[in-house]
Amino acid sequence: MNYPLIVYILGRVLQVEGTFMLLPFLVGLCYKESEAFSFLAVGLVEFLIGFFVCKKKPESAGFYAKEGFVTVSLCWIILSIIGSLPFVINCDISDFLNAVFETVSGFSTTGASILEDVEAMSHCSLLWRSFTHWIGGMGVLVFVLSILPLAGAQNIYLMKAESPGPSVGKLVPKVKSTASNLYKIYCVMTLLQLLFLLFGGLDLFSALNISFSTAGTGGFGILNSSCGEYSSYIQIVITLFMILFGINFSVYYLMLTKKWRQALNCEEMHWYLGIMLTAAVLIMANLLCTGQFSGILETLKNVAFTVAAIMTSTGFATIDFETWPMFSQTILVMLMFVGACAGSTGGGLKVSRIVLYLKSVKKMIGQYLHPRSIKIVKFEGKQVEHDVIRGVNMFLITYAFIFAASMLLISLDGFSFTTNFTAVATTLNNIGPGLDAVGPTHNFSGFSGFSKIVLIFDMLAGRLEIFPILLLFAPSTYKK
Amino acid sequence: MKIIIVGCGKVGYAVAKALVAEKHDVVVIDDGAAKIENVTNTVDVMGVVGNGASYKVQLEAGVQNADLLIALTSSDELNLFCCMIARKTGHCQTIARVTNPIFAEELDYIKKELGLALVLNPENATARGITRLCKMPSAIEIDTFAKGNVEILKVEIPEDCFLCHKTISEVMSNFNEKVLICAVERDGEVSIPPGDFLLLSGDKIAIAGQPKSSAIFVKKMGIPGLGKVRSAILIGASSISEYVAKEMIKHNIHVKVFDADKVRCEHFSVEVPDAVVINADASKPDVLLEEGLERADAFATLTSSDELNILLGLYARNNSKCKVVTLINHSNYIDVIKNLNIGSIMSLQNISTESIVRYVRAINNSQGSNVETLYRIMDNRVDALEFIIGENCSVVGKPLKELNLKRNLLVSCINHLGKIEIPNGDSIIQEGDTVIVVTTQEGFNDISDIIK
Repeated sequence: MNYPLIVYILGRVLQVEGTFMLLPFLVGLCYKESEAFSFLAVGLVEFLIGFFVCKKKPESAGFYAKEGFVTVSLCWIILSIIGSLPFVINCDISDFLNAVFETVSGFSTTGASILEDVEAMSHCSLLWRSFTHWIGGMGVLVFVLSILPLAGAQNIYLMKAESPGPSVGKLVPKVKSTASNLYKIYCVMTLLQLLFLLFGGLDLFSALNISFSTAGTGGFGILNSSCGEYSSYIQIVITLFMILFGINFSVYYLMLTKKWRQALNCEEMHWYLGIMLTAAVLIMANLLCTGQFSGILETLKNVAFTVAAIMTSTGFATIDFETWPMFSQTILVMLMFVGACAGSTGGGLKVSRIVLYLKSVKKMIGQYLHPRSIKIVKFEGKQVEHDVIRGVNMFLITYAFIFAASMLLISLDGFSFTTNFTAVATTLNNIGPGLDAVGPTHNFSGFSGFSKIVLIFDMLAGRLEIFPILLLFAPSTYKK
Repeated sequence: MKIIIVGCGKVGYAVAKALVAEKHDVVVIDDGAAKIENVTNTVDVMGVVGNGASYKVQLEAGVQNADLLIALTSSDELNLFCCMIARKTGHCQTIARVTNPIFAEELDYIKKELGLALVLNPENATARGITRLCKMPSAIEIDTFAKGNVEILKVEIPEDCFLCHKTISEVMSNFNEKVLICAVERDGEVSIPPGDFLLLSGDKIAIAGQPKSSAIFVKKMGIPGLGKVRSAILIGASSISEYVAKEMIKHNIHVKVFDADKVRCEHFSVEVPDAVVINADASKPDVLLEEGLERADAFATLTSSDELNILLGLYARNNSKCKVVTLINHSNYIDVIKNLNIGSIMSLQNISTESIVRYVRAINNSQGSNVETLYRIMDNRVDALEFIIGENCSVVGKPLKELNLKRNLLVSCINHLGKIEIPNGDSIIQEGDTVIVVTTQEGFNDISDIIK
């Protein structure tokens, strides 16, 4: 294991986070808040530590899959712990564990909160919360890759470990340009949403927060009611951008390079939009049958918003969907597991995995009927290698084990089955709200410290797609 | 530059790595998913799985915006077809590897008619290299510059040589012929030596100079046991030995070829009627001894199996005093191999990589001072580059000592329109000259890169 290089990369990451903390500081200054200085202090110290760690460039450039996984998970843990310090110092979240929970929830783009009263927070802390979504959405190491010339050609391992999806590819030949292209698309889309929100009459602070939260498909709101109090126009803009941020970013790159046909033929995107539309239609019909209707347009808007929020793993809310009939609630819980597209900022199992599961099952049935038949699974018009299928299957199994273990552990707190099930589902899939005691109008503050640690693990495991985090804790990773 | 490489075998991989090191954007196409997986994990390139001759696959690899497509699959015909498609689909230049001796005399025609920028025949280049080594058997490596007017030889200093325990400037002032010691390898470390560098026996040195001068210099060094080569044994009736045999026969060297495969032997005999072809398994020692290994002047192992080549090279070194040349097809372990006592090593992969990198540097830099020739000498750790000096070049018209040259670099030779000068501090580079620079740094594209 190449520890000097891992430490060097971590140092770079610290520098980046330290620099990012200037934004909440500046916002705090604008609002003349004393809390702002906690960001300046932590950011400055962090930057200096990073600066000194990076002073000496390590000699050995050997960097392989193992180093990639360990670097990424270590980096996310350290980022979250340091990112939570300003909250503790400025007393917005005085309990350290709660602050870490909130920050992990931010970086992992979950959006699950332990705050009882969001509106009591200072502006700078609110902005940092949303900003962590934005940083975590595309990934901080991808950001580091896009701006810094790191030694060695194996940086692809960092990108693979941090980016979601069953197989991570490049947009252009170089890792560095791929990363910077991704961030360019990300920034432009965030800016577009900001402009649309400002056009709808939202103040700059709210618009900035909502844009960051949506872009990272996070879900931290700045009002206790999440997005319920905004105008219909704002809610529709948020719905659209949630859907857009849940699409594989390579589609946007193809559009930028004017390969329209290829972009529009993206199979994963068709499934994604198809599943979303089907879910919305079913919920609409269900609401219609049970008579929970307050005007067709109003319901349509709320259903579209909620379906998009849950499926893209954003987790904003306009209404309390716990008042909806059980059929609709169950659809929402299922959507949590489906998640957004691979290569987007969203969480969940990812649409491409679900599609591969369906295709594998179909193949298996075919093989029972014709034992000698050969059938190759194809996705996006290309043959899917057996290793990829195996990886995807193993992912589901590991996912199920972690899910079950987490549920068992947090059941010690004595909440209802629905609460426990959806609390794990919502954190492992990086959604935000669950049902019952963790529903959209509630929060996670009721859990014990131990359960919070379990859920923190789930959020990180969900964002990094399990294996990097598991490898970090596997003893064989460190054996010589 | 945006470069597409079709075929990710060992050569394709090495070329991709070399081009990425020169900061180009590289896309690799291969129909083997595992190969693509490997190359994208270890080299900063983008991979496309598919048949490189397919129009659709080339489009996916971005042929429309590419500057160059290099076809390096194992099939000559596929390479040529890839290039034809690329010429029609995109507007890129194309390089094809064509190694079959059948096409060897038709290469100019193929190049012109198919609009190729370069036809690569590394086997032929290797064959010429092997023949050069046989003409100067004391040298471990020979590279030629300035249309054959300048050579850089790598030789090992024997014990009791007149060079031992002398500094380079002493050697130079005592020796009339104009040569220059431009790189030294000692204990595995390669350096560009300053004038006060003390030479020891066992050092491997690179000597630049005109072939005549360096031949006299090397003769004076008195490397024991190696005279003029009159007869040679080649192992393997491969296409590369066909090139070697033809080239050697041109130079009046008697050639004996061994191969265990009868069909290949017959084919060889048809193509090279003047060679003695022996249908026998050369890995059996008796066969070689019976056919006169001890009396041969040169011995070259040219089969496609590196292991066999190395083993036979070792065997020949132990049983004969002849010049041994060992062909390494895939140089993954060249660091280990070079410590073995197997004579001169010719690396097919390095020769392919060199010629492509040289060409890419040249088109990357179409005005100013082009790289005319590039060799990687001293086990790839030193670049020897030949530049053509264009107009308005910053190095023109000033004595070398007034130029602020980079470290680890030596201007080894100036060619004033055929007149070769081994430069000193007062030498002046003029427009139209070609200049040979030896350096341990990489990535020189232009002669002005030598200035700080």
